[in-house]
Amino acid sequence: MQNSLSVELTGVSRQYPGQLALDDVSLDLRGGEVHSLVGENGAGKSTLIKILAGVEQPDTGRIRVDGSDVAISTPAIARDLGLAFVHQEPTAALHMSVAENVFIGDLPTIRGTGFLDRSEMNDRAAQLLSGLGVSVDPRRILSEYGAATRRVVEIARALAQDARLLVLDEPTAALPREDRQSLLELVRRFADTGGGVLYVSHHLDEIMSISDRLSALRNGKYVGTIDRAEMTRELAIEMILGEQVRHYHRIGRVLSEDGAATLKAERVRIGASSDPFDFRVRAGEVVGLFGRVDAGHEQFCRILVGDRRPAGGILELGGKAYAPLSPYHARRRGVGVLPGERKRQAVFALGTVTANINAGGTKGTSFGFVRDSMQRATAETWRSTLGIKVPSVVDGISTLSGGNQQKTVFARLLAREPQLLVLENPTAGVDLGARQDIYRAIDQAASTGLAVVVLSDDLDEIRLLSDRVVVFRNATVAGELEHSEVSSEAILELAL
Amino acid sequence: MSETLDDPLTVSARSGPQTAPDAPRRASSRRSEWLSDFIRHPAGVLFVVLAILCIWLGLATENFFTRNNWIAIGLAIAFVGIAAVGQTIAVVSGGLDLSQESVIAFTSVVIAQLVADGMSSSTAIGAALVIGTFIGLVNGVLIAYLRVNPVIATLGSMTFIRGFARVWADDTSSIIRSDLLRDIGLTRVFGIPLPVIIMLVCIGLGSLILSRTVFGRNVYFMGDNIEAARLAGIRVPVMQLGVYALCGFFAAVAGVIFAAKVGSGLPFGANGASLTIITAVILGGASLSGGIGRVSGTVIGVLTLGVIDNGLILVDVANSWQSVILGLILVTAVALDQVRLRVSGAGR
Repeated sequence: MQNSLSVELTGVSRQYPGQLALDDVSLDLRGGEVHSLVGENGAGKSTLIKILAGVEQPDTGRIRVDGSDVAISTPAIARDLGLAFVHQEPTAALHMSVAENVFIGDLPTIRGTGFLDRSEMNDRAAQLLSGLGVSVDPRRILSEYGAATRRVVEIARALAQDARLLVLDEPTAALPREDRQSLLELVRRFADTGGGVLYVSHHLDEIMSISDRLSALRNGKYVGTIDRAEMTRELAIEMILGEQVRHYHRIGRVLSEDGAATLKAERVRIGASSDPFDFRVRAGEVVGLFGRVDAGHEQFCRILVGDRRPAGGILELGGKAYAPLSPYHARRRGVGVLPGERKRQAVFALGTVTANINAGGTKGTSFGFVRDSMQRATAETWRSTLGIKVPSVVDGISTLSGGNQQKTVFARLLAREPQLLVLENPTAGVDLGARQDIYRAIDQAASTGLAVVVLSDDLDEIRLLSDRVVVFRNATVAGELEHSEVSSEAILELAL
Repeated sequence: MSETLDDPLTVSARSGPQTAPDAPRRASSRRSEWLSDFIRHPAGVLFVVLAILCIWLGLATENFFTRNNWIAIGLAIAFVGIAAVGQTIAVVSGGLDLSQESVIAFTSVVIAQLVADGMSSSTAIGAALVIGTFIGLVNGVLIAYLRVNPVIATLGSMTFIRGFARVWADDTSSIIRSDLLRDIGLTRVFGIPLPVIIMLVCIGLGSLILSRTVFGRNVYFMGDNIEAARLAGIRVPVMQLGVYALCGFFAAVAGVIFAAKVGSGLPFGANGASLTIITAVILGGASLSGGIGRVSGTVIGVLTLGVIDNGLILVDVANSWQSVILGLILVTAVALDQVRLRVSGAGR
C-alpha cells in the first residue's frame, strides 16, 4: 500500500489530576505488522490512543514518525501523518450514504466549485470497499447495513485518508461473533500490504490470532513487548495482570493450623458403588476441587448444596449433622452456592440488580412483606463492595456484562452471611478485570472466616485460589495437594 | 422486564428518601414517574384502546355511560375478574390453571347441595371456599411433587371436577334457596353491587400479594428462572402449592359470586370461562412464559373484555360478528403491546 512507516514513542508520560495516566511509556510501531496493545481498563490504553490522535498532549516524552520528531497537537496533524482511528463506539452517520460516511469530513468536490462530486465519491468508495473484500453499495444508506459492515465502512474511511497506521480500539466489541473473524482478516490484509496496525482489545484469542507483537500497559506503565514466537495466553495474562495479582490470595489469608472444620464429610460415597472418602474444609480455608468429566467433583458439589443425596457417609456442618433435603435447607444452614451455569442456574434475567441480590434471602423482609428500602440498601452495599458496575441498582441485570452479573450473583450469596461457599466455575465467561474482583472477594470472604469450596475446570484458577486442592477421579477423592505442592502437573497426574 | 418486578420498588424508591448515589439524576416529580410507569406498563396500549373504545361507545350510544350500564358491566365481569387475580399469580409463576371454570361450577353445586341438605348458607359458602382451595392444593401437589406439567395437571382436574359436579348434581341445575346468597347478589354499598366490591377487594389482595410480599417476589423469580430460584434457596414446590391453592381459592370466591348471580347450582355452568380468564390475563400483559405480569394489567384486560361484550350488544352488532370484532381487537391490542415493548426495550 503506502510506503511503510515507523512510529516511535519514547518516555511518554501524561498526568491527569490525581492520577498518572501514562508513566514513561515507550512503544514502536512499524508498517507491515499488527501490534496489539493490551491492559486492563484504566491501564492507559485510551490515553495513549488520544495522544496519538492529537486529542491530548503528552507532558513529557517524544514521538517520532519516520525518524523525525513530531508534535501531534491537533487531530488534523495526526491525519496528515497518516494515522487513522477506528474507535470503540461506532462514529458513523447512520442516515447518510455509505460513500458519504467513507469521505465524511473530506467529501470530493467538483474542482473549484464546492459542489459535491457524487460520481467521483461513489466510484472511489466502491473501489475502497471492494479492495476490503466487501460488497457494499456506496449509494445505500448506512443504516441498511449491519454492525459488521459499518465497521468496515469506518475502516474504509481510514483508508480513504491514505492511512499508514490504523489504530483500532476494540473494533469487534459491537460485532456478532461470526463477523469478528472477517474483520480480523481484513485487518491482517491491511498489515500484509505494508500498513501498520495498533490493535487494542480485551479479547485474548483475537489478539493471539492476529498479532505480530504484543505490548502491555499496567497502571499507566509500560510492561513490555513480546514477539509472536514467545506469545502465549498465559504470558499475556501475566503481563496484563502482573505477578502480584496472580498471587493475590496469599496476602492476608491467615489460616490457623488447628482451625475448626466448618464442613466435615466422613466416608461419603457419591454413588452406591463408588469408594468412600473423607473431606473437610476449615473456616477461612479455600479448597479447590478438580477432576475430569464425571470424576465426581461436580456431584460432590451438588451434595454439599442439597441438590443431591450421598449414597452413604455422614456430613457435618458447623459441628452439627448436615443432610440438606434441598438447596433451601442448605441455604438455611448457611451454605451459599454459585452455580456453574450463570444464565440457566443463577440469573433472574427479568429482574433488577436489587432483586437479584435479594432473591431467596430473608434480609430486607418483615412479616412476609418486602422492605424495598432495605433491599436497596443491601444492593448498594454490595455494589460498592464488589465493584458491580451498574448505573443504578434498580437497573435490569440483563443490561450488565457477564462479569458484573456474576458479581451480582456472588453478592446474593455473601449477603446471607453464609458459613460455607460452594463456587462452581466462579469466573466462567467473566472478563479478566471482573475475574480479579471475584478472586479478591473470595479471598476476602475466606479471610473473614468462611469456608470456601471452589470447583473449577481452570487449572490456573485452582492454583491461584486454593489453599488445598482435592482431586477427584472415579467418583472419589484421588488425592490432595497442600498449597506448596500444587502445580498443574501434580493436579493432572492425580486426575488422570 | 425490570418494571414487572420492581415497579412498586422503584416508585417507592423515588418518593422516599434516597440512598443511591445517582439519586439526583433519577429523582423526578411523581407525576412523570407515574407517566413513565404507565408507558412501560405491560397493559399500557390496551388501556388506551379501552379508553378509545369507551369514548366511542359513549358517543355512539345513549346508554353506555349510564350508571345502570356500568353496574351491568361490573356484575358481568365480577366472577371472571376474581378468578383472573388467581390466574395472574399462576401465569406469573410460569404456570397455568385451566381448572378454574370447573371449580366455579363445582362451587355453585357444592353450595346448592349443602344448602339443600339443610346446612346454613354461611357454612356452605365457607365449605365451598375450603373445597376450592383444597382442589388448588391438589393441583399444586400434582405440579410440584409429581412434576406434572401445569397444563396437563389442571386439564385433568378441570375434567375431573366438572364430572364430579355433574355426578353430585345428577346433571341437573337446582335453585339455591338461600337469603344470604341472594343478598350477596343484590346488596349495594353506596350504590356499588357487593360482587363488584368483593372483586375489588380480591384485586387489592392479589396485587398486595404479588407486588409486596416475599411470596409474590418469589413467584416472579420462579417464573423468570425456576432453576435459579431453586438453587437460590427458594422452596419452589412449596411456592407452587401456594400458587395453585390461591388459584383455587380465588376460583371458589368467583364461584360464590357466580352462584349468587345465577341463584342456582349449575354443573354445566361457566363452561369455557377458563379461556376467558386466561385471555384477560394475557391481554393484561402477563407473559405465558412467566416472570412478567401484574394484577393491574389483568384488571384492564378483564375490563376490556367486559366493555367489548357490553358495547357490541349496545350497538346491536349481530352475534356472529361480535366474535369477529372481539378477536380483531384482541389480536391488535396484543400485537401493539409487543411492538411497543420491542421498541422501548421494556420487554423480552
